[in-house]
Amino acid sequence: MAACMRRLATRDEDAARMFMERLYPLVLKLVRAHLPRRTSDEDLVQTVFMKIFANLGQYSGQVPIEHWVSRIAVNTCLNELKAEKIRPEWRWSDFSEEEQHLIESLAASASDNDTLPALASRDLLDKLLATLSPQDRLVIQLLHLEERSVSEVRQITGWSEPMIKVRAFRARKKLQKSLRRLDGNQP
Amino acid sequence: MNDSQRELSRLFKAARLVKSVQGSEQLPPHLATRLLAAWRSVGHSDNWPILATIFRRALYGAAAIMLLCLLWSYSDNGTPDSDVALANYEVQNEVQNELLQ
Repeated sequence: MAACMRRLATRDEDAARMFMERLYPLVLKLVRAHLPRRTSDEDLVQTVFMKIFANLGQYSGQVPIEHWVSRIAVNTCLNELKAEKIRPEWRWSDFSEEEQHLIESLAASASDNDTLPALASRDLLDKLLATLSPQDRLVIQLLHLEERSVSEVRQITGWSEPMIKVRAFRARKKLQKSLRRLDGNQP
Repeated sequence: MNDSQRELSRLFKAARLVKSVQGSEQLPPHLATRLLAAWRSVGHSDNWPILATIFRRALYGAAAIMLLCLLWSYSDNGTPDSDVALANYEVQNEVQNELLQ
């Protein structure tokens, strides 16, 4: 990767292609996880890569390139998400039958061993996450869905560890409240 | 752990299973072309450092020429030509004074 970056500095197109191919899965994953509504993931991926190329000279090499790229991708997404002022407020009728069934089964069965449908769970969680602020969404995504450590989240976001823990705690509380509200609102 | 915390943990656990489905994505050729085109255009607009160097050198050159002109002009004051010019000026003044009187 170091050799690729040296070639990149000399405007080598093959190196640029190799660099993008290597980092594309990481950037796409982050972009999809924090994609604002009405924004195409390809547009945002392009914005992220352009920022990376424009600031490549500032990369010190002290941290892995993936961490540096992650931070740029996350900050770009957060900036885009800031423009989203309105957050949806879901009602029972907004959920699909499968999601409604999932909410009911979540409340009915408290056993950890009962498996839940993965795709419906993900869709439901995405809808609940959409009600949170971009920062809260990010911290839940990184800590609980990607199962990253607090230290990794600190490297990606640049936030302090206490801030991450407090933000995650508050975000979980908000999600629990949303779930309780939905459970109480069902007909 | 209370009920709502447990519910949320189960939801996270189930949602995490989707992660592997979205797994390894490769850069699509059309996007690679688009990104490379954007990268090239960034390169074209990135000529400012070279232009700034040229402007800086031009500025230093102009300053050096100005300084040389000033030095030449100061060193030129002591030549006989300036004495002649001064004499001419004095003669002209005298003539003008005489005419006025």
